[in-house]
Amino acid sequence: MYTNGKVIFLESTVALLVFWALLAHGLALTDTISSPTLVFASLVELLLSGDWVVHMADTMRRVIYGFVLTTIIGTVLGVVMGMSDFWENALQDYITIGLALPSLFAAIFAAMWFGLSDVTPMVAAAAIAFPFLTQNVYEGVKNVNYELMEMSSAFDVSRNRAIRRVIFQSVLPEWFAGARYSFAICWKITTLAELVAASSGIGYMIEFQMHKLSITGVLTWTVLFTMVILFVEYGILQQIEKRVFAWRQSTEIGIMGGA
Amino acid sequence: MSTKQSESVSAESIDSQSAASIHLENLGKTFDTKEGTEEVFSGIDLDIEPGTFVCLLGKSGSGKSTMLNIVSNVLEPTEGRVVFRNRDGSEDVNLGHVFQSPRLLPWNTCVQNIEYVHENNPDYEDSHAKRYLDLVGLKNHYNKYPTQLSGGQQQRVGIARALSIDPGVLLMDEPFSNLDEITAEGLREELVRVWQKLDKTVFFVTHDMTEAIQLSDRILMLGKGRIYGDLENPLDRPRELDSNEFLEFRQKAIRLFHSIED
Ligand SMILES: Nc1ncnc2c1ncn2[C@@H]1O[C@H](COP(=O)(O)OP(=O)(O)OP(=O)(O)O)[C@@H](O)[C@H]1O
Ligand SMILES: [Mg+2]
Repeated sequence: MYTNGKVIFLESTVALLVFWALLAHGLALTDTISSPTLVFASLVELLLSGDWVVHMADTMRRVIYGFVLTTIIGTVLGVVMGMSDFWENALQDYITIGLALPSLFAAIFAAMWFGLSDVTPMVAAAAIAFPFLTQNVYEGVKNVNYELMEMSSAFDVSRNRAIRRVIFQSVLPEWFAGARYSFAICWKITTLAELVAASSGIGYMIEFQMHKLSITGVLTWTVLFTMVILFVEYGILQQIEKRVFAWRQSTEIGIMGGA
Repeated sequence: MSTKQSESVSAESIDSQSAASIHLENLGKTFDTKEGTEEVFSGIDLDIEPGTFVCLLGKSGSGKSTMLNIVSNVLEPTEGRVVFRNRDGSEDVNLGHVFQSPRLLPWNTCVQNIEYVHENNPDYEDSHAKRYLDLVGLKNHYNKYPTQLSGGQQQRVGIARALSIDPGVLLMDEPFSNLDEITAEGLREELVRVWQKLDKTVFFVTHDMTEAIQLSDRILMLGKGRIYGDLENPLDRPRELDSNEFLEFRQKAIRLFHSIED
């Protein structure tokens, strides 16, 4: 199933590229939809020039700021909601609203308050992403197996050890799924915020190419962005997950839904 | 005291603490509920010899789990007390617990699950856990996760975990009732074999008469707030479930079991 999914992904990507190339060259539409070869050439040129490094680094830095903020807020609120009925009642509705908050709204408001600084993408990303993590952590804490805690006390296991070996471990998968999903959201919102208010970064460059009416330029930066996300997702996050969750036979966690 | 020096990981090398006796003295439990107080049982006096396999039998709601939880020190009795005594007279006795579901940490292997309950044992080594896994027939499963084991195998890990702390008393609340009959049957035989090898007192709760007769030395029947039946099991081991003696004793026990129905 797993490998099949990968094969299908590869096949459909190739099919799409062929279709795109045929349409672009066959119907002479390269000005409107560019073409795989044009984008590829421009991507190679960009990579060789090294101009992308500074923009990528800026975006990365903002994503990481946003993600750190998301992780802190998301985890703390999730734990608090899971452990206390008061906070559960107090925050539940806000989390529901937060989950539905439009991304552009967060980006524009953050831009109006914080202008061109790194704070804008950080706050915008965290505002959109943290409710997903909070929701997951909250559910994880709620679902801690009470019987395992009883077993622990029957065998005289200390509270600290039970927290480490039972509570922490049982929340970890939800936390990780939430963190991974929020990380993807942070990418999206950061680039969106860069598009609204920034003077560097991938979002800014996509916007810049758009102003030049260069569809090839827009696509080149988008492809670069996607490549980096895929690398982080499959090369880093999934590898960590495989190691940490070896005890689970399958860890099918949804990734990168719409933000 | 259990030895950890031996190289070979074999069940024979387990050196077990001897069994303890259990004494219930004027034990009573009353729950306070919204509808008033509910007395589950009262004035129960019982002495269980060390090394005895006791089955506590009773209908649903008769208070079996309540009694076991008091003996386990999970619940406080309303009156009376429970005393354990080692053969040397000391009263500091380890209790091993086996639950209705295995209650294993799913993110830990079999060995790690046993290691988990040895927090206060500075001499603990994995070979110790392995010895007990061998004992319950899980030699090739040391590093498997619970999800990679069958329900019966998981329950075996639960038993190995309880035995690994070298308890003087083993407390079991319907440990086989979630398993299919064939698996349960295999585990019963296994449990008796292990119990005969290690000197342990077992306090086993069940609602299944056949199970009680197959396992026990002594059958206690709980109902109407008291122990109304207390039978010595006369059958020799190993026991044949379809032998005449078995069926005869079962008839007699069932008659007594239903004698408080009015
Ligand atoms: N925490 C509690 N609060 C109030 N009443 C309780 C509580 N626990 C048990 N009881 C009552 O005590 C009685 C005995 O319950 P218990 O669970 O010990 O029965 P049981 O013999 O183990 O039954 P089963 O075979 O169904 O497991 C029941 O009437 C139950 O309603
Ligand atoms: Mg019960």
